Amino acid sequence: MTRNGLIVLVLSALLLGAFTVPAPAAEKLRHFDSPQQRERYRALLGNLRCLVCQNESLASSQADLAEDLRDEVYRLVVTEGRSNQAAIDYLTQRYGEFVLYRPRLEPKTWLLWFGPLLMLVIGGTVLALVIRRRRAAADPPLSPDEHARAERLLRNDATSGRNRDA
Amino acid sequence: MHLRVRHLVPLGIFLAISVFLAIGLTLDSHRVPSPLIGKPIPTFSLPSVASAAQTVRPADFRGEVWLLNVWATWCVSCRAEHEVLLKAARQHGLRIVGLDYKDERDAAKDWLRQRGDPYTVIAFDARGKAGLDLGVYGVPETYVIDRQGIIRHKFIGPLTGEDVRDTLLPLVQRLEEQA
Repeated sequence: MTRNGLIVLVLSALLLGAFTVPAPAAEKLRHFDSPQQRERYRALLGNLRCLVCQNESLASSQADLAEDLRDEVYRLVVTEGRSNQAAIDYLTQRYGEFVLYRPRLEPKTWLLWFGPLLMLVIGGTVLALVIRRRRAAADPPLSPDEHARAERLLRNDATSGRNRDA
Repeated sequence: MHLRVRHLVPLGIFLAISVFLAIGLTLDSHRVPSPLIGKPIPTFSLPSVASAAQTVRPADFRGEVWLLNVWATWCVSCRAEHEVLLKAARQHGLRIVGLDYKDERDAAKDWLRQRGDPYTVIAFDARGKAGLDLGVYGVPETYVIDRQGIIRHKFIGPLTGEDVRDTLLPLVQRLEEQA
């Protein structure tokens, strides 16, 4: 195989890796009344954090506790037909808002939600100030005297350049 | 070159970031504050490890300051904690109620025979339902409950001798002085 061929092969293998998604946890077989219901259950689990692994959602965690919590979420939203909010309330009452990957919008999370915007505003203001100050400090136009002197210097320079070439 | 105030800005930003990162290093992300602190302990009604005929309820301990220790025989760090609990019960007279979480009764009985029993009584939570209601996510966990049945503190992970001396005993004493 040519060297280029090998590179292409390696790169495509890497690219393929980038597009694979982590395998969902070995879920027990569950019954759903409709595909929409299954989608709702899945989406809900994807937005809830497993407390044991912390960087995994309830949908993908293999932890024992995640299994129990999936059972509870299934019971609430599928068996009992309650709302997503009911399941979220059930979990936050027991484990706190830490389980929410999407924190609620409330005074104590304002900084979290609006912090990036705040940084943008601060950065933009600093940038605008710097630009304005630079503009104000731009060099004043040349006086006629200076103009003449610059012209002389340039002419001299051109002459000496020609001399050097000769 | 003049040292101007604005030359110190990058240093200031660097120091600010360092302070935040240093604080971050001291935090343990596995200690998630429990929303149940300051709230009544969720009620449960479970058989005890000793006998399926005996029922354990949090209301049984109303009027006392007590600990609820969540443990299991499959939990490795519970072994280290067990010594601490024995000492807390025997030397300091703390009332410790156990919650045997997702365990087997025979294994639990063997454990207590071999290692000693620091518990007043142990609720047997075979399916982990009471554990879920308590927000248990890492065994062992220990709750401090006051005379009114309000959860005052939660220890996550094994209790150490220092925890008992520096945090638990002063807290229990303070709660016992309250009416």
